[in-house]
Amino acid sequence: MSTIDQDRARLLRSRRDFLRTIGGAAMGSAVISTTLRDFRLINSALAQGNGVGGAFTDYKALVCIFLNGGNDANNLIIPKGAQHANYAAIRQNLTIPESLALAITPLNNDGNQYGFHPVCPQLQSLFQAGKLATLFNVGPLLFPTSRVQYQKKLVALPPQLFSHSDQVTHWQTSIPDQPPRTGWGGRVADYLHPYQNELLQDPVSRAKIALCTSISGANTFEVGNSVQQFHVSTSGAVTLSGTSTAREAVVRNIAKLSQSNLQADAYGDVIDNAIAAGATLNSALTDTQTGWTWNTPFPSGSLGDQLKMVARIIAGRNKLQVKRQIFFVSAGGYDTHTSQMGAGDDALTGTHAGLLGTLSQAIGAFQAAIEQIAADTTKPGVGDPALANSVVGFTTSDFGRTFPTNGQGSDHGWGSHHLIFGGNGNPTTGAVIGKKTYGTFPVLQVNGPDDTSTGRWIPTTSVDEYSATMAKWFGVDAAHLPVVFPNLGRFANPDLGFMRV
Amino acid sequence: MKVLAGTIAALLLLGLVLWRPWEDATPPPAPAPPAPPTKATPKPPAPELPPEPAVTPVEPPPAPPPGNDLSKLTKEDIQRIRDAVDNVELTLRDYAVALNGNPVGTNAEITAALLGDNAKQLKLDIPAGSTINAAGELCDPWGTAWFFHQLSAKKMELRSAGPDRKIYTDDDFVR
Repeated sequence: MSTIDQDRARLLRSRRDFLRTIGGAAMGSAVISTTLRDFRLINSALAQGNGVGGAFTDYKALVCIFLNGGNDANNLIIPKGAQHANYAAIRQNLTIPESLALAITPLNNDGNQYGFHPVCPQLQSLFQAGKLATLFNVGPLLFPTSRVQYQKKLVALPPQLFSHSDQVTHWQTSIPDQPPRTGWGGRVADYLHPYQNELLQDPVSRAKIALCTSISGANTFEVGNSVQQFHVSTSGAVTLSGTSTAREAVVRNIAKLSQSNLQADAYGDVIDNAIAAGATLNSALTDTQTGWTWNTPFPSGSLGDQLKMVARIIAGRNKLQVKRQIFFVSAGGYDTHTSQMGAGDDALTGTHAGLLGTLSQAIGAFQAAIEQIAADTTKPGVGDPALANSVVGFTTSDFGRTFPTNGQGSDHGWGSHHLIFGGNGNPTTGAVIGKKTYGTFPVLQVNGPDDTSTGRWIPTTSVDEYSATMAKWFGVDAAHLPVVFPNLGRFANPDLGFMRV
Repeated sequence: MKVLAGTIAALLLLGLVLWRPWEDATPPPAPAPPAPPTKATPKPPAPELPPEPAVTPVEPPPAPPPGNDLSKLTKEDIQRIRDAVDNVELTLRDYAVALNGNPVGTNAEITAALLGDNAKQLKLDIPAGSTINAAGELCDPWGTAWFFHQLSAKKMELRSAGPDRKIYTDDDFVR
């Protein structure tokens, strides 16, 4: 039989298979278009482990919590003691009284005393337990920058400083001086996904979902060159609306039809993989959900629901056969130009207090959920004591906010304080070396050495240093850190020391 | 019929007489020979006249700010404010086109950038309807600094505090 005849015979067989399976080809195109809409088709066939190299033997997860709008971290971590007077004099109606700030006792001593916002008892507890660390005054930079250099324009700065969308991109790409094409999480995934599973070419045993998972829709952070993010809602993987098993089989059979066009063929594979991955994820969630009650309830609302879904996916990690996962969740509303405080400038109420309270509850519940999953060895393939030291979360945000009040809130800033949490809290083995502060707390003075001119802190630590420290723990070796973070060499500390590698 | 033909012939004849095409055929007159050069006679010095006073452009005095009560603003007042917003917006647009993005920073930094402190030393005019205060800030018709909410490289929310001069209140003008 000639090659042409062989192709024709294969095509005919495919047609017969197709007709025998679905019985009605007329519905095909409509179903495919529904599939496209419902799935977003973000997960990539490449992301599912067609790589080479040795496999990871342990599990690790990084959870990025993005605070959209620019969090006023000046009121997340509050100076106590002698510094509080400076703080209160400039913040005025935004001031959290010193007596209400929840005191922490860091193991290190930078000469200052600190406390968390009064609505953040969970953060205080985690810090004191050695499971949370703070990083002061971090932000996007192209080069280390001083006040004089900023004012005299002696060094290049990230473009469009103080604008929301640009700063979001800068944080998520960690390459502010290049057009945004990939995020640093995506580049980490590009490098690590070949090591997800040692049977990478085996369709049965390889990882079932992409390394990057977003519970908050599309983002730049998880965009890689080859790895794409897998989107999950707070209810699980998005499925075909009104589907039945038969309908799903129909769609998958259509997707798997051999196409003469290579692109169409690959596209069909992507659709098929998306459906398969979604079905597998939902199956894993169902398995772990049965009889599962969280000891510490998640707060109601979007952030709590998102982190709950992350915890559930982590509980199902063995069924999904993943060894490394990067998650992205987000919370909005942090652009507090006004209504930052409650009526009568009440420090305990208002928009910002509400946001911080939810953040603290959600982080506390998530950490408790991971520890609960780790401890529950009664469910096969779910509990594992090592898990408690394998999941690390961190906060990011557009920018910090101006230190002085604008009367009703605060305006766009630059450097900001952030949180890293996770691990077992053990001072010698914990993933996060907690109960410590990192970075340099700014001098609380308008027109002081850390200020551009109006209380916008010039970052003393770069996003590159912050992110690289976590990427190193996650598995990126020293030789590849400059590939993931091309500007890292410009800064002094490629490892800030808050992760135990 | 004969009358009609006669009338047409008479009209043609009359037209021919009025047109007088034979006159167009006459050649144009020959150009006159160039005049011989004449000896220039020096002009006597003009008597000294008192210098004219220098003409300085007279700028209209700044318009008084609109009233402090939103409900009492006239249509003209509101149009004036809208024009001021338009003008700031247009200035920002010109800047963004030339420098591939809006100016950034505080109001004073943005104002300085519009007035030439930028990579191309592009100097734009102060937008009509706005003024600059002692702190170098671009101000709305009430003399309050505009609030520049920096959304992205090309999109800037522009806010005037309005008659009460307090930002983020109900009488703000926002674009």
